[in-house]
Formats: sequence, C-alpha cells, structure tokens
Amino acid sequence: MRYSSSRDSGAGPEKMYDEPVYGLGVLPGEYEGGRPALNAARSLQSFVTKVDNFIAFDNDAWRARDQTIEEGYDEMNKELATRMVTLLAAGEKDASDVAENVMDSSDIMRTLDTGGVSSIGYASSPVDEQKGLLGRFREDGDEYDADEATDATKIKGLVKRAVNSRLTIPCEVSSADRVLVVISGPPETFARKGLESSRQWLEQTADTVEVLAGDDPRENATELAAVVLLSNVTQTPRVDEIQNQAVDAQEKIRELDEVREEEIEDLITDEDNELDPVV
Amino acid sequence: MKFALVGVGGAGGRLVEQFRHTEKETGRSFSKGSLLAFDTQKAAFEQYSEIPLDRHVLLGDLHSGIRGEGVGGDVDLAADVARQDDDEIYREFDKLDVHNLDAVVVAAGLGGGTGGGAGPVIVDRLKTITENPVYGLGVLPDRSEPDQQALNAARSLQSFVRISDGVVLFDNDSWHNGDKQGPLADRYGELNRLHATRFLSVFALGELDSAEIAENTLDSSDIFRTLTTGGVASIGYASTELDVNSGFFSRLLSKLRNGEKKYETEGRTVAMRTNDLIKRAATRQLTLPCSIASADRALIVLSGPPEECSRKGFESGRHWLEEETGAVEVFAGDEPRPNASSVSATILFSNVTEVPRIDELQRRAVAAKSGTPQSHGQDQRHSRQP
Ligand SMILES: Nc1nc2c(ncn2[C@@H]2O[C@H](COP(=O)(O)OP(=O)(O)OP(=O)(O)O)[C@@H](O)[C@H]2O)c(=O)[nH]1
Ligand SMILES: Nc1nc2c(ncn2[C@@H]2O[C@H](COP(=O)(O)OP(=O)(O)OP(=O)(O)O)[C@@H](O)[C@H]2O)c(=O)[nH]1
Ligand SMILES: [Mg+2]
Repeated sequence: MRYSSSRDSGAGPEKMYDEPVYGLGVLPGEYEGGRPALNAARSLQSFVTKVDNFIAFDNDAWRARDQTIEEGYDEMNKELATRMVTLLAAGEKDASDVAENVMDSSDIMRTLDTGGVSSIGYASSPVDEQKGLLGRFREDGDEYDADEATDATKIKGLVKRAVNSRLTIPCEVSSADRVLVVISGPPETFARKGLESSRQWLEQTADTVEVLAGDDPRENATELAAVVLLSNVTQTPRVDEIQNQAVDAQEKIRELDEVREEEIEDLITDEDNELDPVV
Repeated sequence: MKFALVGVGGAGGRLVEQFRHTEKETGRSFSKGSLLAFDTQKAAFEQYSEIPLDRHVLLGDLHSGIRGEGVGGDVDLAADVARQDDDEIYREFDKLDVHNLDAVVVAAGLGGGTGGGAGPVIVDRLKTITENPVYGLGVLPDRSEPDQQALNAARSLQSFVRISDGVVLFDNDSWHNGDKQGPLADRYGELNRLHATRFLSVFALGELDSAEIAENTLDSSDIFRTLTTGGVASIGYASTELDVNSGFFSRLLSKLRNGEKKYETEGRTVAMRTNDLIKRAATRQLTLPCSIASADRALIVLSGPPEECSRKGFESGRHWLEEETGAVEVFAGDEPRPNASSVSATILFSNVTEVPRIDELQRRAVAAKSGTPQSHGQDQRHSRQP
C-alpha cells in the first residue's frame, strides 16, 4: 500500500485521487494549552470529513516524564512509526499473490473504510531462536501439535497484550466499528488456531463481527508482533477533552478580543483626556 | 528574527549602539548591519563607534532654529522637523533593506524631545514602506528627571502605541535608584546592556550563528503572533549560572554508577530548575513593572545547554504562566546552546494594561501641563534658548 503522512494542523488534505486518503494526526497534549487544543479540535473536524480515515496519536498519553527537551519527540515518533510500519507493511502484498491467512492491502482498506478516527495497539515478543530452529526442522507429528498449541496461546496472548497496551489514542475498545489484527514475524511461529481464537476474542472485546485477522510473514524477523487496528472508535476521552479545552479557549479569545482596543486606549490616555498625542 | 534597528535621539542611538555591540559579541546576526541613528543634535553622533558614519542622520540641520544644536526637549518641534525632512528620511530608509528582514525596531527615549517627537513620525513613515511590523522600543524617564520628560513621555507613548505594531517599554525609574546609584546618565551604559540582553533574547531568537536545531522552535511568526495585540509590552528575564558539577558529564557518570534510579531523581531536579527559572523570569523585575495578569499574550524562550532544559519543567512552567496571565496564547520555545555556562528564561508579555508607572507618568504630566506654561512650537522654544 502506498501512503503518505501529514500533521494535524493546516487546512487538511483535498481529495484528488481515487485511492483512499488516510490522515495520521498528532493531538496536542493538555499541557500545551488552549490554543493548540482549539487548533486541533477545529482541524480534526476538517480532517475527519475530508480523509477516508484518521489515525490519531495522542501526545498526552505518550509523553514521557523527566525528559529534556532535547530528547523530545524521538521516542514517541519511534513508537508510532513501529505501529504504522507494521500495519502498512502487511498491506504491501496484493490479494492475488499471497497464501491464505496472509493479510493484504484490501483487508486494510476494508477495515479503514468506516471513516472516523482510528487507534492502533501493538505488542511484540522476541522470537525464541532455539524454538525457531527446531520448528524449521521438526518432523515428529506429536511435537508439532504441542508446538502448535503453545504458539496459538502465545499469539492470542500477544493480541490481548496489543489491545490492552497503550493505544495510539486511548479509547473504549468496544466502541470500534471494525478491527484488523496482523501477526508479523517468522512464519514458523505462526499458528492458524491462534489467529482464529484471537479473532473470536476480538469480536467479543470490540463487540463487532467485522474482525479481520491475518499474518505477515517476515522470514528473518527477530520479533513476533501483533498490531491491532481499531477503526472508527467513537469513545475517545481525549478528543472530548480537547473539544472542551477548545470551547473554553475560544470563549476566552473572544473576551480578550472584545476589550483589547478599549484597554489599550485606557492605558495610554489619562483619566480626563487632557494629554494630547505628539503625532 | 531579523530586524532593522532605528535609533531616534540620544537614548535611541545609544540603544542601537549597544545592540549592535551585543550582536557582534554574541554572534546573533539579527540586523546584518541594517541600522540608522536619527538625531537633531550633531554632537550626539560623536559617541557612536558601532554605527557607521553613513548611518548618522541629522534632522533639521537646515531648520533655522536648530542647525544641528538639538530641539532642547521640545517634542512638538522635533515632530515638525521630522515631517519637514520627510524626503531625506525616506532616502535614508533605502539603506535599511527592510524587504530582506522580518521587522523594524525603532528605539527612543520617550521623554526626550527628539526621541519622543521625531520617533513616532519615523515609525509612521516606516509603516508606509513595509508590510512587516514596525515595533517601538521605548524608554520611560526616571522620576528624578524634570516634568518636561514626564509630559513628553506620556504624550509620545500615545503616538507610539497608536502608530506602531507594539511598543516594548523599559522603565528607567524602576531600574534606577538615584539616591543610591548616583546620576541616571552615568548608568546609561549599564542599563542599556541589561535591556539588550532582555530584548535580544526574544527578538533575536533563532539568529545564533552557532545554533543547533531547537526541539520546540519559535520563529518570527510566533513573535508576530504574540505582539499582534498591539499595545505595550514588557520583558522578564532570569538566568542561572550552571554549576560545573551538575553538568551533563557528571550526570552521565552518576547514571553509570548508580543506574536509572539516580538519573531519574536528577532528571526531576532539572525539571524543577527549569520550572523555577520560568517563574523567576515572570516575577522578578520586568523591563516595565506591570501586572502580568493583565497580559494579553506571552512568549517564553528557554536558552541553554539542551540537557539542562527539562521538557517537563518547561511544560509546567508554560502552563503556570498561562494560569497566571489568563492568556490563551502562550508560546514557548527553546534555544539550544550546547556549550553555554548558563540557562536563561526570557518572557515577553504583550499588551499589558495594568501599569502603575504609566498612570503615575500621566498624573505628573497632567499636573505639569496645567501648572507650568508649555512650550509649543519653535518660537517659544527658541526664546528659552540662551
Ligand atoms: N508526536 C509528535 N508530536 C509532535 C512532534 N512535533 C510536534 N508535535 C505536536 O504537534 C503539534 C504541532 O506542532 P508542529 O507540527 O511543530 O506545528 P506546525 O504544524 O509546524 O505549525 P506551526 O509551526 O505553528 O506553523 C504540537 O502542538 C505538538 O503537540 C513530533 O515530532 N512528534
Ligand atoms: N536607559 C537609558 N535611558 C536613556 C538613555 N539616554 C537617555 N535616556 C532616557 O531617555 C530620555 C530622553 O533622553 P534623550 O534620548 O537623550 O533625549 P533625545 O531623544 O535625544 O531628545 P532631545 O535631546 O531632547 O532632543 C531621558 O530623559 C532618559 O530618561 C540611555 O542611554 N539609556
Ligand atoms: Mg538628545
């Protein structure tokens, strides 16, 4: 899938292509104050009406404590990039040339087709080298089943972890409209049963029947990762907060604008207006 | 921000002189030599070494009552003279190259005849040649000065504020104690240095030749946004010398020795220091003492070694300032100076409207106006000349 990214300020993209246009937007932290909140609240409206789906990242939720300014956004940006890349890499394949269970771009597009605001969850765990090797050369049927069972448990556990992890924007998971989960890693660690039980678990947790689950085989990966896309989540406390903050800011700005000229004149003139300007 | 510097009268010229000196000394190339110094008194130019000769502009040299001798504190005469010299003023503006700069700053002592009278005329003419903002940098007189200065300043302030895009004020009175510190004129150099530090920390932001990329960048548009309110602005400043032992390397060392835990504790200390610095900048003596709660907008610049600028401290300091001022627009940015031996916070408060010192000046001006006959026009003024 081809994609581009954009920040949350400015006028928002114009729709010029038939391909879907997705937004990836950063929401300002509460600590940034009224003005950024007002900008974000207004911009979010434009984005959501103009793009096919808006993936949100909440700076408030991701801000680390005790940081110098220099360390800045690097860590957050890395976390976001990992999620986006893991998700979108899965869509690099066309439906025609992949095996069953493997995620393709049409699955991602279908999930994002809801419009609205989306959130991403992610979890990973290192691939056990030993097991990976054994897995490749295993011949004995019994051992295969045992392996398959632990792999399945592992995958379901990973998916649960991803959903319960810090989401790009914290939200009520059950408010999601559609869900997509991608398991990315060495194919020998995949387990069809794990994928299936993850899908069932997600149907219940997200309270939707529209759950797509698939794999993204990465031969030399050292990690097994689960990325969960929660599309069109409608209960996002931070968005409500930003809107409230924005309303307050707008009100204050109006008040300040109203009295500005008068207060300046009051300051520079004496009470009885006896002093005249030089020019 | 890059800006042209125009000084009018003695205080204006000395401020330009000092700013130019600081520009060279600190490697902040904000003016690129785009300078002019206007005066009505020929002798005033003799003291300048940083302002080149071709930037000395004598106003009213053909005026019968002046001839390079100055206006003797007469603001109305100075304003007339400047109007008459319109053509020359516009010609001199060509040297400023305003189209390649972000703004123009006009410095003047508002209590002076030349600064207070010709200053606003020059601001007015500058406004016709550029779309960019033209800011005033005004000095208010000390209480030890004669009534005339108070009256000039009160009247000139009206013009400066109405014509310019905002006036940053520096109040001599609150920075000078005549009883303890002797004559004001002896301290001009010292006061101008203090003022240069404060003004340039904000207005010359981002022009350090050795600058690293800042994380929270402020640029000229943020300064514009802060000052689009117009009105009167004041600047607060605080700095801390860095203890060599609290530097980056020692923190790195303690991290290696004691692991993450120790580092976190130290990290919080940096956060507290940063926060504290911002509070001090807002509450210590401002260039113009005023109620910061009356400020319309504000802009904070944190400048120092990157590892000494805690994000958390910066954020909570900014948040604190937003609460204190009741402003919605509080901009904040950092200026990394990797090898600096100090950290500083500078805050620009725009459109402050509760300023006791201005009320006081106005009262004195009104009293002076009704009590003593005022000189208006050149004849009266001339007759006072020995
Ligand atoms: N996660 C993350 N957030 C960022 C980063 N940079 C800025 N932000 C956030 O994005 C908001 C907008 O900041 P910028 O992107 O710098 O602003 P801009 O779009 O360049 O707009 P102006 O500079 O105001 O013209 C800020 O309020 C921050 O919350 C970043 O690298 N990562
Ligand atoms: N801080 C500071 N204040 C100054 C300086 N020079 C003058 N002032 C103040 O500014 C006021 C005006 O003084 P000048 O600038 O010398 O006056 P001028 O504009 O040259 O006007 P005339 O000489 O009357 O034509 C004084 O009353 C002082 O309060 C200076 O270098 N620094
Ligand atoms: Mg003079």
